[in-house]
Amino acid sequence: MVTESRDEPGDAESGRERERLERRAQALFEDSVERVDARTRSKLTQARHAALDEIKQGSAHWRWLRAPVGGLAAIAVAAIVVVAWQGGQRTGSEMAAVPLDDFDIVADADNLEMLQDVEFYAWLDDR
Amino acid sequence: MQRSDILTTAAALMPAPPLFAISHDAGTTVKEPILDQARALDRFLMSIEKRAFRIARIAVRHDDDALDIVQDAMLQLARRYGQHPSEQWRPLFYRILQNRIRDCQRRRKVRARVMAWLPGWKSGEEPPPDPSDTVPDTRPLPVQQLATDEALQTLESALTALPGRQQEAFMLRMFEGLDTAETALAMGCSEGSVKTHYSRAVHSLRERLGNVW
Repeated sequence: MVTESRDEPGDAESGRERERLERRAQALFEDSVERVDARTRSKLTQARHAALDEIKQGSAHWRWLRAPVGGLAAIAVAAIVVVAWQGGQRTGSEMAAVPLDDFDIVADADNLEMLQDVEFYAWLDDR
Repeated sequence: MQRSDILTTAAALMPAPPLFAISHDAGTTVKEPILDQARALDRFLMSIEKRAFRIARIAVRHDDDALDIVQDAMLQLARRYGQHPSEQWRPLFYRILQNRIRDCQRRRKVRARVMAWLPGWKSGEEPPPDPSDTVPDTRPLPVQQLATDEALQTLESALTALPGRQQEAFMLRMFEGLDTAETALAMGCSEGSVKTHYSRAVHSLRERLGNVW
């Protein structure tokens, strides 16, 4: 409650009347606060919970903003790996020079056995 | 780059299982202050909700409007200032509350002006009474409680008759117990203005209430 002195001029009687009014007003107000009905108390509780949901959702939004940092790092690493892998394999011009027959070999499931023993077939081709 | 080198590099860059555990722990430590803040806000709102409702109710003289105002003030506080230090919440909350009260009063005035043009519309800011309110309460009221209710109604009427700023200053200082600086922050004015508004409010109330008190 208000305890500090106020800069209100006036005699002692006026001061006492004033204090009496303040005390009476405070007491009545406190009494009315204590007698707030159940329906209103329930509504106030609902309002409070809605406000708390707001603060939790607000923090969830920040988590959403922070979450992609880890995801983006993983994607960047994967992209580097793929690019480096392709760079290590062959260049674009080399890829263009590969005959289409080679794709048939890869695509055809029947040739998988041959691929597993490719060194033998290379030797056979030289003969 | 050799295939094995790439795989080694990728493996080195991927987080190892213990690191997952650490990051999970870090996640919970980030979450913990948010929960603390939510708990602190819950305690704060619980401590002021009924008083805030009564203050809004005296200002707008309508239960549902007062509830809407308090709910809106709670939401705004959580949304805008939830992350602020808890010591700042009280004056900030009452500032939002007072702004909402003023908005409500302004809307009513505008609505009353517009509706006054319509035929058959009766002037007056009070909404039609709830029929259940007119049902007589057969329970006997203690004499003391009756006297208290009458005194409260007299006080509310006197407060309602005050100019808005005087009403705000009186209720924030007397009912909510804010000091001059906090009241100034809540009202968005200087401390000198708060003292002036408060002093005039007390003077007017003494004149209005007179010997009743």
